[in-house]
Amino acid sequence: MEIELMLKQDFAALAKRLYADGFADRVLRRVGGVDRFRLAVVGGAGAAGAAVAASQFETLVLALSQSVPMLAKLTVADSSVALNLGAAPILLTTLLFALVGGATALIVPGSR
Amino acid sequence: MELSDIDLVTLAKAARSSTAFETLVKRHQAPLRAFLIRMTDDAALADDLAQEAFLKAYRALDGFRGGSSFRSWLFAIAVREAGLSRRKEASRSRIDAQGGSDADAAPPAEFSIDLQRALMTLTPEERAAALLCDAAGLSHAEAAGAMSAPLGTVKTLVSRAREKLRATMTAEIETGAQSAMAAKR
Repeated sequence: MEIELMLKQDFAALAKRLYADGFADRVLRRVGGVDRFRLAVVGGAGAAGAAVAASQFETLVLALSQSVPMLAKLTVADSSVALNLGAAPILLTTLLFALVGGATALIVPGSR
Repeated sequence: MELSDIDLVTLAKAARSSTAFETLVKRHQAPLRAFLIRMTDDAALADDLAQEAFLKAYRALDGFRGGSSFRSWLFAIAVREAGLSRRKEASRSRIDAQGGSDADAAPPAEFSIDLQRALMTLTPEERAAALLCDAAGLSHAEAAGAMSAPLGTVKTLVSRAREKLRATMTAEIETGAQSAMAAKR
């Protein structure tokens, strides 16, 4: 018999026996473990980052109010309605944090 | 309709679908393990290497650009893993040998050569080339990709492996026939 044919037949018979055992499940359990570990790392890093950012919130609000004082006093007035935008530095800081959070979320799926 | 490997890889990458990767594992695990069993002559080691290859493939899935088939890419990871394990084993053997152990003496006199034993007489590169092309059914180009070797080298390795296997098997048949005749006398 030709060597090529012998190899092919032997390989096919061996592979056929291997299809039915639980190897795939074992691999998939380990793949699940990789995902859980990644989630824990990303979650932990995210929580730590959020905590650090939160601790700087007040400082950032203060810095924004001082650098652009008119933001804190901004009022949009009309004949009947006056809209006070005194909270603008807080809004801007929140927006900044949301932007950083969003950018991080965009990067995370690629970090397989 | 059955999805192609490339479709499944795209799904696994884009939607981070573990179901897509599960299908890929189920589709390729048996040929990959069969290849590694014949490469290493050790089923337990072959399973460890296959598991490692799948995990590495999963982690590196974002880097798979589809320049080759998924099968060839996966086999390339497995070939690298097998090489790494062989080198580790070789260095371990050297340390054992320096320790003065002579447990690994010559093979037994009744060294019976079947196909697996014949395969083990080849160099690892010849064995990988023959198994990838003749057994697993990869094209020469796919095998070259999997072995990270030039196409011409793979063709030479395959042809040399076939010659060696043919010679080994023929010698075994002749030895077997002579033994049978001697036993009859």
